[in-house]
Formats: sequence, C-alpha cells, structure tokens
Amino acid sequence: MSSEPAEANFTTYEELALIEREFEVVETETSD
Amino acid sequence: VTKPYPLFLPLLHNTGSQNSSSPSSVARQYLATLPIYTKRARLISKIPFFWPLVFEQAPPEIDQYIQPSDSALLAAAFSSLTVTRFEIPGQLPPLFAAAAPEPESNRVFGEPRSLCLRFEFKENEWFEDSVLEKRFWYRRARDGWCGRVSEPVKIKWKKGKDLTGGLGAAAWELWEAQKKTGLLDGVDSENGDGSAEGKGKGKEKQSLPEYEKLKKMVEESTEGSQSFFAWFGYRGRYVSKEESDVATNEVGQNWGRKGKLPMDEEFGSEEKLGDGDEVEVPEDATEIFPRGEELAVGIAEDIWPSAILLFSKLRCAFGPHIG
Repeated sequence: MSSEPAEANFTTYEELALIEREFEVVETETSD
Repeated sequence: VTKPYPLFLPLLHNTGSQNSSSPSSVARQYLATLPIYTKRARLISKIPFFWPLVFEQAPPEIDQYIQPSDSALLAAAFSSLTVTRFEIPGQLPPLFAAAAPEPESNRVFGEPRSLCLRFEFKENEWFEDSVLEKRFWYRRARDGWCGRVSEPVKIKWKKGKDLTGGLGAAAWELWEAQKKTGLLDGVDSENGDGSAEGKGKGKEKQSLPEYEKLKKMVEESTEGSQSFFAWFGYRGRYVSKEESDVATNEVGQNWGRKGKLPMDEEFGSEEKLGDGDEVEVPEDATEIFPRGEELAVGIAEDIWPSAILLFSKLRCAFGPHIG
C-alpha cells in the first residue's frame, strides 16, 4: 500500500477538518 | 458502529414524529453541500487509498457484504466514490413552491431518495471498467409498495476473475433479454405501460431461458456469501416510472381529500408495506442481491457523508502514515 506517492501533508488533514465544520454550518443554515 | 454524519439522516429517516423535512429543505441542503463535497473530493484525491481505508472502517451492516476477495480488489483498485441524489434538479424553484403537495412537490424539487453511486477504479487485474455506476430510482407501486429499484450494471470481468461467479453477468443478460423482447421498458423509461397491467407480462418474463438460468443460479447460491460486486446486479422490484407516477398521483389525491399535504407525514418516512406484508413478486426468484437497496442506502448515508470521520478514526489509531 505504500507504492503510491503520498501528496497529502498536514495541511490536507487540517483542510479536511475544516470541511467537516462547513458541513455543520450548512446543516444549521438550511434546516427547516 | 460509527455514528453517521447527521446531515441527511433527520431528513431522510424521519419516522413521522418530527415533520421538519420537506423536499425543498432536503434539496436546499443537498445543493448547499455540493461545493463542499467537491472540495472534499479534491483533498481526498491527494490521500492514497483513502476510499479503501474508509471502507475498511465501514459499520458491520455494510462490512458484512464485503468478502475477503472483494477487499483485495477494493484495496488494490478502488480510487474514488461519488454519491449523488440525481433526481434533485440543479436549480431550485422559488421557495413558495415548497408548499405544493406531492406529487407536485417532488416534480418541482425532485425525488431525493433516488441515488447514484459512482465507483472509480484504477487499472486492475480483475475487470476492464474504470467506472461502475449504479443508479437507484425511488418508486411507488400501485399496491402501496415503495422502494428503490435499479438496473443491472454489466462488469467486464477479465477471464477467470469474476468474483460473482457469473451471477452478475446472468442478471444483466436476463435484463437485456427482457428489454429486447419488450417485456420491460426500463425503470428509467419514459415509455412504459404505466399501469399495474404491466404485471401481466410477469408470466412471459419467466418463460425466457435467461430467467430459468438465473433462477437456478440464485437457488444454488448461498445468500450472504455473494461478492460485493453482485450488488451491481441488483434490480429490486420492477416498477416502471409510469406506474410510480400514477401511484404517486393517487396518493396525492387521497391525501388531498384528507386536507393535508402528503409530504407532512409521508416524506422521509421511507414507508413501505409493513414487515409482515411483504409482497412476493416474480423478480424475487432472480434477485442476485436481495439486500441491494439496504446496502446502497448504507453506503450513501453511513459512509459517503462520514468518510472524513471514518478515515480520521483510522488515522488516530495508526498515525499519519497509514497511506
């Protein structure tokens, strides 16, 4: 499983965490 | 069991006590999250083996359908997953249309329970396809049954590599034979016969040699031991678009007489005939993946929205170098 070059770095994972927050915001803003 | 990301669950699994959902709110949420999912996909593409690792973390309800041979294929070749609710239109009408009752509301806002699951694969030793896309249409039969129906997807297996043991190919061949002989109009058809009378074709459907062949294969197979890839051959009950439209109209009219908006109680309840009221249909004998709808909903609601959380769990357990 290590044959592919990993392009992800710490920032990638931080950005993923931020995306989770974005989902939460949208959920709040668009719920009835 | 991983707690699924809650975005759609309160809306799509509403059991009736919280009538906060409506086609318009689901559609609004869906469209609002699309750009976020696009951003997520861009980041995920930088992480090797993201999706195989996420599937490794799948809850048991999904994991039970993935055999060790499937895991090997997924680990080696599964590169991307996209789930869409393809019957929701790209642009929404004015909010006042939200008050329209079914079926008008679903016509305007689309049917959010219809799903498209798109799997992408790297070149591999098992099959030729780089994309396998499975669509599920949410349909209503005139006897009250509701659920998702689908069409078999043909997988171009390499010689000796078919993990379904020929079941998937046989399901696809039967589907094609039934279409060619005019016995089906396709669940996505605009030209079906549009009525329950179409079930009169049931006997003819069963007279095809492809039907007998598949029926025998299904009888000889062991439920629960099928490959995950047999799921691509799932059909479910045959309910044409036209029959579904007629049935939905009838429900709308009945609800209208009661002076209520049908979406208030019906939408999101995933209501079907009761557990004890299962209706046997001719398709049952040739269904190669009886729990196909359940698996589709599991992937769409327990894996797709929760992918980052599932991946994070693994990353926390094994550190940042799991790729």
